[in-house]
Amino acid sequence: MRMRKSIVLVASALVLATLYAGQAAASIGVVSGRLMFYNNQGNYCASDGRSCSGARYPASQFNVNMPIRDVKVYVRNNTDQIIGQGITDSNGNFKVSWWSPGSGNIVGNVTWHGEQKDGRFAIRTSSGGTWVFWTYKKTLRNNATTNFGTQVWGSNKGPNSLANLYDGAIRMWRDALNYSNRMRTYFTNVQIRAYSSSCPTSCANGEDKRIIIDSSTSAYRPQARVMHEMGHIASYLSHRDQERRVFVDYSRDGVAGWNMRSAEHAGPSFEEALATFYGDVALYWHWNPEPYSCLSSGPCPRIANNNVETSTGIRSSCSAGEERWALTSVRYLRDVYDSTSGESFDDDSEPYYQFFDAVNRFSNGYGNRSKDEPWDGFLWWTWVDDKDGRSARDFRAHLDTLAGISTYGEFSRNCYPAGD
Amino acid sequence: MKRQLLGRTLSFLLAACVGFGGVAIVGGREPLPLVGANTSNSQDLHQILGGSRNSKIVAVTDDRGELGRSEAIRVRIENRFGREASVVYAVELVDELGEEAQRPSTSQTVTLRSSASADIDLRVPRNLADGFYQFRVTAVGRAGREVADAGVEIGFALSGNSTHLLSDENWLQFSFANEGAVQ
Repeated sequence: MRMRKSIVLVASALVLATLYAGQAAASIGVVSGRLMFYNNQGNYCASDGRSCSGARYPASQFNVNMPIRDVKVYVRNNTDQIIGQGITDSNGNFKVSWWSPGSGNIVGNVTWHGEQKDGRFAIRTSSGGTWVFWTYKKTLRNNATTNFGTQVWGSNKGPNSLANLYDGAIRMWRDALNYSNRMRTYFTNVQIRAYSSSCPTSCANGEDKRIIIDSSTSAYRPQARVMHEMGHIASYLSHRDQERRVFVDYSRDGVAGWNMRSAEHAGPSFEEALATFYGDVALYWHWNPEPYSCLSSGPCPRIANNNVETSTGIRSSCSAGEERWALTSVRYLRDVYDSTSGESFDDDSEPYYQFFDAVNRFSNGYGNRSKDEPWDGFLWWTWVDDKDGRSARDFRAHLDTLAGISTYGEFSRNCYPAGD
Repeated sequence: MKRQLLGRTLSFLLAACVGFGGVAIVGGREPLPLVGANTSNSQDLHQILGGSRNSKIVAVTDDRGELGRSEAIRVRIENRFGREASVVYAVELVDELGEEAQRPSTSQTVTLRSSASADIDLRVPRNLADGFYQFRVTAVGRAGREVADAGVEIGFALSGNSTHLLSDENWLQFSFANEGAVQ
């Protein structure tokens, strides 16, 4: 099969050469090889007795070489001009034809730039420039296939953070966002800029489709960083007309910023929960009974605080402020999504895409259940009159109507997430 | 090889003096100003959302830029568990090709009181040749059943009597770290 593909590629190149033959002499050929990286990302499903059924990132993939999947690949000549372009497959393999003026063998190499093959996202520098992942130059043989072998970025002693960052992003696309038609339509040309300390926790800007990753160590914490931030972009693009305002007041508990168990205003809390949930699905599909979520470069510690399937119960069972935790809304969303719970109240199992479509039901405007609810309808450009607006409660109303179900059970047994 | 390394080290220093060289960059644009995440602004219409704050254990990198060669690079580990925590950290030093430049070491367990911090002095071995290197520090803290980790990667260029600390981005741009190796 592989031989047949090679023959087809070389034949295609020969056809190209024939077409150009009347104009000028040309060198043509094919390069092949495999791109891999040393995977050092945390958040895998650890082999410590927890159930990894339905886990998309098992421990066996940690600290080993893994393929660089679905990335654009370029062939360059000796002066770095691009003379061919292709993509890797799901195993990191590539075969790319090239064409160059002149005759005979030429010198060139292969590069990749952290660009997803269909233009979903690209890893960029902090100023939007292109990262070039390069290989040494070698002779590219005319009318033949030149094999670059397996090229690996990083090692067990020195992992390449950008390659790890790309993998976190491609996992998010392949294993999660790709399952929503809405995302397949709108999640395009997202820039993931690495690295800039301008945002010390990593950030997302939906309007500009831009993510900032703060440091190389964040590349090894995919769940709470690149996947979470891609979740924010997905949330933004899910909204009607693919735009909305963003309410980022995390001051309610008197501490700057947020974490999974800080009691925040219901609007920001739900947005963080939604972005987290969108990312968690990339690691744990609906039949996994024990999904975890955390900010760690290792596996999430197997404790209740990290378990997004655990439900605390009705309001009287909950800690003070727990209804305002992002974790509480994540658990509600997970309960609506999963298909494995033995709890009687957790009887819904909605498809992933439904969560994007439910967000799209927030109407334009500032009223209850509208997408800009936190803002005052009259002085909307300056005044926030409802910090608990656009909450999990509003989402539930839209989801239940859209799906024709009642998620009251999941909602009530997760502390009745705050909102109005 | 040594001459090549020295040449690129000097290239880095030159680029640092005259502006951004961009060995591995094409088509860069100036970044648009970003409003800091996690701000408290109820009127905020900008579109920036920040990630979760690292609330348990934090590693703070050295930001001095340039040091004398004999000066230690300093990393601070902060306990934010809200109670006493046990902390262990590991230190690795590699060159730009990912080869070990010093045997990795692991600290003994350090007990940090609530909100206390510990400074780690990273000494550059005297026998290292001029070139690009990277320290990797990984700290793990435990308080009761809670476990958290934090890490920093500090790339630097050694040149003569100076140690130039690099941003994560400069480390990837100027060193060989973005080069594939044939397996």
